[in-house]
Amino acid sequence: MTTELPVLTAKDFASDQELRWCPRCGDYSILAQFKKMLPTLGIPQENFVVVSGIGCSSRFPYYVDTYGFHSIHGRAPAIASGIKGVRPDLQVWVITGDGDGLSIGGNHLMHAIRRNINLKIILFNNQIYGLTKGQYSPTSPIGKRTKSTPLGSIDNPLSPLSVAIGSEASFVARSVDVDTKHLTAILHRAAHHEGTAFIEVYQDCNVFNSGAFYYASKKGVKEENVVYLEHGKPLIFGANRDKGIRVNEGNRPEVVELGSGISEDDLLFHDEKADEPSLAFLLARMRHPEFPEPVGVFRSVERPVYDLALDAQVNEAIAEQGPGDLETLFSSGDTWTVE
Amino acid sequence: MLCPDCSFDNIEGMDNCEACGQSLVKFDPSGGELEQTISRHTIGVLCPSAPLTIEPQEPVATAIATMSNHHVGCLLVVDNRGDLVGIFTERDVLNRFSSNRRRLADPVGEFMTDAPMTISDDDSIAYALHAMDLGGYRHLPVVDENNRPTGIISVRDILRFLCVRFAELRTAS
Repeated sequence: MTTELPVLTAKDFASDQELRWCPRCGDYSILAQFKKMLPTLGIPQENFVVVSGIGCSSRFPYYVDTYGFHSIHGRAPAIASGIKGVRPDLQVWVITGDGDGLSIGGNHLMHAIRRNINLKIILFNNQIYGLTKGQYSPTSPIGKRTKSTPLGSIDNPLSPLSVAIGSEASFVARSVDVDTKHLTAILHRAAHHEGTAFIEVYQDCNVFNSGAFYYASKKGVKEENVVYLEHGKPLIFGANRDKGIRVNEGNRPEVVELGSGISEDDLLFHDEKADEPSLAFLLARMRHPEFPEPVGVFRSVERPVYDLALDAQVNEAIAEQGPGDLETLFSSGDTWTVE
Repeated sequence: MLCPDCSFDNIEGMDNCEACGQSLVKFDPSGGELEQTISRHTIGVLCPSAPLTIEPQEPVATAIATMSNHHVGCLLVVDNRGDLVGIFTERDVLNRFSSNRRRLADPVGEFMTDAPMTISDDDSIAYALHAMDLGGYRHLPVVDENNRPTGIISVRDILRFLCVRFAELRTAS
């Protein structure tokens, strides 16, 4: 007898929890697109898990009607890795922020990514510690004045995408909180990627760091400051699509104007499938205002997936040695009794 | 009632948002009205005053006279292209000029606060309050995307707005 699975909608993923984000917070938009995307995956609702750390971003699991963990600061990737290790059939999303993921959680993030565990990691980058009311974060720009940097930050900021690519990420993408169609598409691609999918989302904290990403989100402004990545296509941007990116003789990217001897064929063509991450890294280093900032999928390659390999090893061990008994394991080897 | 999730304008009393399904039962706009007000409303609603400007080479005496004649607490210092380069306030008169009162003819640029914190029309009032608290400022220049001043707001503008808003809420309730 077959049982028809219910057709899920975004409404099915809405929880009944009290919303605690500030009005106009960028997190609302990310949540809305996330809930729109989940039903399209054809996965039963009970097979989703959302794991977060600590921060404004990390309230996320409360607002999605799936299994979830609101865990400890920076440790969401570790807990999510454990979930995938024992339940590789679940789709596990990690929600983190620039503080949670790159400060205290930097180490766990790096290892989850390099292992290529089948996790979907969304890093909400608002360049500030919002929950604790406005201290600088690992992505705050040099000179940023905050409660904890009254004379301006002297820390060199991290680029989340550079960290991810440096950690050998097999899927790396960036989107913007209010670019709803683009964000939904990126979430969808991440959901379908086999292995760790890392997405940086530019997210506006309208109370403690308003306007940090206006250049990439405001209509009429973003067209000159953002370049949309499409696999196999040249990097063209501008309101009139009259500018492009090419790599010059010094192997550095440069902005050029199309026409006057420069055609689309002279431009840098995006290749998200490139084996080497060099191109993805070069794109990740393009920062405003010197360059338009790329958004989209920087890299999407196939690599062995950790949880599948782990599962295979476990099954092989069971086939050779039997299922094993935890009690026997605890009492084996060198043990002693304390009297 | 606006859904905090997707901003869909639902009929008052709806339990769930018609557009995205988010529960509205536990979202009580009246309970956090101050938070709602300062987070939702942007600087634009304060109708920032047109800024009074001065160039950095102008004598500080001119700056003080201008502030006095116009009954304002600060001037925005702009270069010859109109870009914001500093701010000169009553506090600068007290803290930087008052012990150098013979220097009336010296450029105001030597007494101004340079690279002041700025906000834009789209920033929330909450952010403006945070910025004022962070720097101990009473005034904030409002600039466009080219860092050209378009206005100025003071903490008094925010207080005035909040007083009006609270009166509206009392009337509504």
